[in-house]
Amino acid sequence: MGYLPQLTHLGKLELIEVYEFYDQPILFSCRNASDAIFIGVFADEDDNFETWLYVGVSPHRFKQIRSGVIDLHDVFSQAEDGIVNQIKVFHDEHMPLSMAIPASEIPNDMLPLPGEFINLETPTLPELDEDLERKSRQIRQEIISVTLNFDGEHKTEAPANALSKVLGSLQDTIDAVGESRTEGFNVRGPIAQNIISDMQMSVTGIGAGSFKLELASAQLTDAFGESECGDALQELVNLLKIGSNPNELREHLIRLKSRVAHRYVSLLESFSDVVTEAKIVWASPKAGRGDSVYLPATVARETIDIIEQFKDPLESEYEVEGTLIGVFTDTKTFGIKAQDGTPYKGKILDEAFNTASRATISERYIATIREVTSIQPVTEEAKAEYYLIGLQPVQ
Amino acid sequence: MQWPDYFPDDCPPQGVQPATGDVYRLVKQNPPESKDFIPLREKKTSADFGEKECQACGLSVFRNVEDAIRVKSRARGMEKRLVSKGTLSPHLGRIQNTPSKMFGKSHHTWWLPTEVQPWSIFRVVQIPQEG
Repeated sequence: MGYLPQLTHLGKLELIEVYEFYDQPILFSCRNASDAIFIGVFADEDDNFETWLYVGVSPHRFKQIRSGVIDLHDVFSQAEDGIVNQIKVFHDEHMPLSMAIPASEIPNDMLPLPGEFINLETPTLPELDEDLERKSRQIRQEIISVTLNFDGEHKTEAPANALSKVLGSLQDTIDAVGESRTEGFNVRGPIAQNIISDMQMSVTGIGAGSFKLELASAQLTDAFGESECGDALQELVNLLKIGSNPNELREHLIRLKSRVAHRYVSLLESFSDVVTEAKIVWASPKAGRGDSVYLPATVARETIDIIEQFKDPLESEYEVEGTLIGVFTDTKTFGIKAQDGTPYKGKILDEAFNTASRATISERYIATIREVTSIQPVTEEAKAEYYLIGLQPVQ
Repeated sequence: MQWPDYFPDDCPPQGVQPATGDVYRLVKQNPPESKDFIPLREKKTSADFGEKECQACGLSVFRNVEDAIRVKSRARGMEKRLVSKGTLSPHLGRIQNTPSKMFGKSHHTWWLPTEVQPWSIFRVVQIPQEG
């Protein structure tokens, strides 16, 4: 923000609140990237530069200043550290000059007049405590907060069993979404250990206001604020925001594949079984990322019903170019090896049978394949079956 | 109404009222001069004001003289400035209440079109606190 000087020894400053504004903030609070809080004031000016004073204050003193316990003169003249930062900002946009000087040496005519106060109600410091996005940037980790209302009243208690289901199914769903985003992914076998590592979320806090959990990704973001876990959370939040819209749900779940659908239903069940409503807030270090979703139990139940009504939500059709390696007319089965080496073996459906029965082995074809995936109930492993519904030679 | 080229799109914002009524502005010169009416955006041409860009293109004025006096006692960099009073009319631009967290409705942002000379309608006023 251009109002505050940057590249001084105070660090990267950003405004918290403005108490007096005249063409620009002239009495305000601000903080730097490491959360040091300052009160700033426009103290003097001449033809060449403006003089500003910044005094560091502890969170407790900030509350006192904000609520009018300490007058503005004393904020600077009796600085906690005995030091006030003087910053000269030049009119010609030269780099600002900053220096720390003893509070006792600040000329009195630069200080606010005695008896001037800020008088704002200050029960808490929500802007400091609740800024998940800022916290996310500081720790370079994705953060989600999950607020659960267990009985429609505000409580700070939660049944342990219900909580374990919510946390477990949330992590499972994130794992599956993360897996679905990997290149060359197929739903066979357990999720790879490196994906589980990348997707791991840790509970980092529990708060009041219904029952609130805060989780942070184990994976750090890169220099651009990006991470695989962040991508997965984006998908999950998109999915949650669809709510119970059947068409969009189907479209997303086909793309994300069977394991996500299966685990997403479990997640929704964990919410709908025990809470009346849930709110999920996602904060990301990447600018422009982050979102929030409000999920009443009624919507969670509707969504489960719709997913379960899908005759086969896990069915998809696509074309594969490769070498035909087998056609068996008696068993109506086929085999084709894709260009990337992946073999596809399965049944030939009636609409493709005539073409397939006349096809030449070892020639290149474009096969239209329907993939139907089912989840094994005990192992939760996904099993894909392939059906040939079209075949044409590569020209 | 022709606005300066550096104003962003939709600035002044839609629905902002035509400038009218008495306002107070703190100035360095007596009588006020053109340099007393330069928006922050013109002074800091390379600064990034983000979502406050439009406000940085306007000027601060108060509806109540007490607020102009209070500012001088709290931010002493303003102390040497003089309180001037002007009566705005619609051809002088647009004005919007931009209240402060503490003092409500007195602070306004005034956006001036290119063709006006605001200094000609402002006069420095004597206030009791200044003796």
